[in-house]
Amino acid sequence: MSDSSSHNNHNNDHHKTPHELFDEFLNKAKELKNRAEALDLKSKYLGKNGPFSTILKSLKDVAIEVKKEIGQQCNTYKDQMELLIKEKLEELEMYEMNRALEEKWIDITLRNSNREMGLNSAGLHPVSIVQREIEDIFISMGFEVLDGPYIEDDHHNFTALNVPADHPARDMQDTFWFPDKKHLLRTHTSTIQVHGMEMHKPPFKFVGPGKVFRCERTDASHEMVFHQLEGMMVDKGISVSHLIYFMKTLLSEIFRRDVDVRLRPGFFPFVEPGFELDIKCLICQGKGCSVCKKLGWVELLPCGMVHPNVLRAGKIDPSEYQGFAFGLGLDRLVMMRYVIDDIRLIHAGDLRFISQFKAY
Amino acid sequence: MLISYDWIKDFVELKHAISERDFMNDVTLSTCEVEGVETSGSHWPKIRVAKVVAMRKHPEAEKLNLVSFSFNADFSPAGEVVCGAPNVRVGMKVPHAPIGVTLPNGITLEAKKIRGVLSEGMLCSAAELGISSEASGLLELAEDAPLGESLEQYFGERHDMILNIDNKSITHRPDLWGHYGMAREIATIYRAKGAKFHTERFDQKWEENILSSIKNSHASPLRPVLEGESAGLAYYALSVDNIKVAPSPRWLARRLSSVGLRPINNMVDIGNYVMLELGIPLHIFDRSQLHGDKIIIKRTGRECVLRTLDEVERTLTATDTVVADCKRPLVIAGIMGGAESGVNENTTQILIEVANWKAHEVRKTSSRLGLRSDSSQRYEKSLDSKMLKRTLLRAYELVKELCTEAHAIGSIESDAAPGELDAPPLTIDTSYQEICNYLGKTVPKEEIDLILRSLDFNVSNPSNSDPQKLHIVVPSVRATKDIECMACIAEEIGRMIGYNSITPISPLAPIKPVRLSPAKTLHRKVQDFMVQHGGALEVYTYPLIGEKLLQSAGFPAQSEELVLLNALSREADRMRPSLIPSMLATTALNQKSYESFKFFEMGRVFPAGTNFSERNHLGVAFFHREQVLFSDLLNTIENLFKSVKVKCDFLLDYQKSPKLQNSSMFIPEAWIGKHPHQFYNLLVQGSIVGAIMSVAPMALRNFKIRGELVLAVVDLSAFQDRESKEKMLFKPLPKFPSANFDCTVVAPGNKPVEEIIKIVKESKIKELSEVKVLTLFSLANGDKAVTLRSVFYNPEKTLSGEEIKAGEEKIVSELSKAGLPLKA
Repeated sequence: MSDSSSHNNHNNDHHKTPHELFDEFLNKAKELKNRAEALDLKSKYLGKNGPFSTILKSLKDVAIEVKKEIGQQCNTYKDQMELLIKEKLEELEMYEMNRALEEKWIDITLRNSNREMGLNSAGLHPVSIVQREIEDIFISMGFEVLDGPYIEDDHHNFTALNVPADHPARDMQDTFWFPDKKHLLRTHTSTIQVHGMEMHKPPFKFVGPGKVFRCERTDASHEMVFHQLEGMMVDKGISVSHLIYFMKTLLSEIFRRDVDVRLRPGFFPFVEPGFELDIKCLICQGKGCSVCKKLGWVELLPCGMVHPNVLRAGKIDPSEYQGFAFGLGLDRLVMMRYVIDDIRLIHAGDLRFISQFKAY
Repeated sequence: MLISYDWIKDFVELKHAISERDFMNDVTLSTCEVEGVETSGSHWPKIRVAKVVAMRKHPEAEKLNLVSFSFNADFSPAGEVVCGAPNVRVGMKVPHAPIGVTLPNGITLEAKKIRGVLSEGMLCSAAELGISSEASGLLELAEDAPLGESLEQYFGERHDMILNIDNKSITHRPDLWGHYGMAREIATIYRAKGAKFHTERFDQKWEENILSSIKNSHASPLRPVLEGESAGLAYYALSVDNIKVAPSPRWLARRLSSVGLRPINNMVDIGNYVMLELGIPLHIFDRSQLHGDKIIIKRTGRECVLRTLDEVERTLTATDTVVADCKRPLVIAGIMGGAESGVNENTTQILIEVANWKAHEVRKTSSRLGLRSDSSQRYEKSLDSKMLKRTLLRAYELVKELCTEAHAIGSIESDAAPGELDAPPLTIDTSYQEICNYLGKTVPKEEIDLILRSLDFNVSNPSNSDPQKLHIVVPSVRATKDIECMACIAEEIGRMIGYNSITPISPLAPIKPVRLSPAKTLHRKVQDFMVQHGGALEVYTYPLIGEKLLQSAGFPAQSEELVLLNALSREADRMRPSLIPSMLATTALNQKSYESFKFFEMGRVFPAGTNFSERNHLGVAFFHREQVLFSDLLNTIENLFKSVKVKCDFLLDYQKSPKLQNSSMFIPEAWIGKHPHQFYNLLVQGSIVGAIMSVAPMALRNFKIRGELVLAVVDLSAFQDRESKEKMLFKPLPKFPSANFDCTVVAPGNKPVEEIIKIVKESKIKELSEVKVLTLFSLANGDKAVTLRSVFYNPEKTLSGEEIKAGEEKIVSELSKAGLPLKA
């Protein structure tokens, strides 16, 4: 009660109690609109000439107990006010920043995918996608990736691959010839075998992907330009059992599942024995369906043991080294994977087709 | 080729029944690809000889009869059928098909009522039985046909399986182009199941028997002569008289039909039959049409015309080989006989020809004439001359069987190229071990011997000391093109034991690191960059191109040596000299679907006059209906070169030294598509390796492209093989502050900023480290205001105010000297 009477006794500005001052501060703090006002309020109440300083200065002559009590009271209020002002300043700063951001509003829902921007996609050709994947599988198994020219001579496309002049096998591959009748467009990537043997001493293993050309009428499943990937491994003591193991491993990796393979005789002049490799139909697991024509097996690729004449043509002694070779039809794999029904789309340059394989 | 199981069984005794599916599978896995199997003649055992014993009108149908038939001697009716045939009458013998039979036309007889009356099976016409196209009435059987007997027995008809062999899978196996050779395979495939090959069918004794039946006292009226060098390898001929040309007996006609050949008459059919049996074609002449006493085998020596059996006039060249008499050519060697000298229904005297020809010559002539016959198809595979005599004897055997009155005149006459008939057999020396190593499986010696002998190889051990050694004599039928060396022997063993019996084993290979070649690495980086940073789609177009497209694109026609001899179409008959024409075509195609797009291709191009050299080019196209995306493309290409660590300069035409080869590798001289301003040459190591350009309207118009197209072409081959030797070394961070100086000058609107920058760069201020355009805006009068930022820096010390001031003044004065005053 004495406090209250004392309060009443100092009922003007110069004689307000700390409590009254604090109440007054709180009221004013509520009205603060910006940081300048807040700093102003701070200096007014807490500055050197502010009311609390005045009160504390006026305590010089009062009794020590009173001095202590009022002093403590003032300091408590001052601390609270400091904190309040600090919080208020932060609040106001945040408010001002947000207001500035509000002014810089942009429509983040206007995404490219919501806009008409023409064809705004990028990506590799599906054959590039599959080819790279397969190249990487081969690299992981220690195979080099080689390249070769499209325009070859008779030697690289035929003779060195054990297809001598006048061999009926030349009829099997309708060849595009150039006017000098010496140069031709390679009919298979097997030419890369010949280049590979020219460049390497055994043992070696490599693959050679690329375009090949056949003078053949085009339709939904035939193209005059298509893609193959040739493979060759030469070492001492290579056998048919190694070939089977390798093909099974390779194809299981390509198809990402365990693949059953079977070999049956197939004639290709550059291999002996030559095989057609079938895989157990991945659709019906060999039970027979429309994809495998009820056979349970699907013909996938030709392969075989490198013919001794091919090794000899590559300056490799067949009594010392043996090897196997195989050819993958890349277009076929692409068409199987994406269920494409017309091979002519591959070279058509139609972005409505290509953009379906986009990276983004 | 079609193979009849029934025919095969003439030569093989099979001890077990084989299902269609197994047969197909077994032959496919061991010998050649079987594309399908068809069963034929399954109706024969069920159709029986019946007698019509009574008939009455169908109560409901005017034209139908109800016919009672019997299988019994007492003519007791076995049932009643509804029959519409006009020739039905009581007492006739006819074939009766019961309910459940499937006829060759695919119809399965069901128990059903015809106009209210149940028909118990059906009486058949010849057409319904599949033996003739005659469909006018019931097939009337002979009076003495035994009642109740199946037509299988009565006609000697067979239930057969026909294998459809993929011809491509037997191009290397001339021996499989006849049933006899195929039978040998089948006997070997089923060796473990007791199959037995009838080797005695055409053995020495048989040969002697036929020869003795030929023996006569006449002189041969005709003798073959190989005149000079020709396609002829060997020629056998036999004259036969007292021939009576007639339709072939049913068994022979049936066999021919079952494998897809139309029966004609006994003589023609014998020719075809023997060819399908032994794989060697033969020809039968009407001897009355032959002049003189010689059959001459020779090159024509001059162009001439021969009307072949198919009634087409064929023009032969001087080097084609023919069979001729003294007057005229008779047969195109190995391909087809002439129409005049062939057998006709009045022929009574024949000459049987069995010959062998050089495979490649037959192939050459037949492909030139566009005439592929059953005969040429076989000769192209390289046939075995040692098989000719047997073929002739077999033909004579059949002639005697079909015309019992026929008899040979004179003896078998022959001529052959030197060495053709007495060439030593092919032998291969190897070892059991070598064969097993090659297969990667241990196969018992006995099994190897068994398989080889079953396939007619002669196997012996040449060494007493080494039981592993193996001496193999290859049968002559397999030695023409097929079997050559140990690997071929391994194939024989592998396919007969079944490749699937070989256990897969991993090869043992030394550890060796591999990486992509520099070129391949670069190609992949470029592809990735164009996708991830260029925002482009990769396309493939043909490396082949047509003259029309080149012309539209304003490119020359490509030099002659790169134009194909045998193109499929004029749109793809030559190698492309550049990616640009295809890129224009691709743009024209896709602008129909999209307002803007970016694409690239990494493809081969074939520059003219470079001796068939090939270059790997990158082509990039940015298309937009309205905007010129030049700087977008320029920046993309600039960054591409940075990312692949190849230093590239971008030169405008006039900046280029005249010594530099022009861009003709990328665009033609005075190209219609060349933009007068928007064109950069790309320079790497002193050579031009590409260009970036806007395509000028003239070229766009030719392709009806509505919009703005910018292109870049880069010859990756110019630098793809360089191993990246980039050595990036850390530079210490700057120790002293640098000073920026911005100044704005007024320049004519068409003044390239690069020239303005160059003025500052060449102002010889030591401390100047960088000059770049800060801002740029157009002024009302068409000039532009360019703000440049110059950076001064000295790595050794802090620049003084005076030094900076001097630099600034120097820059301003150089610019103003060049006519670029500071903006007021």
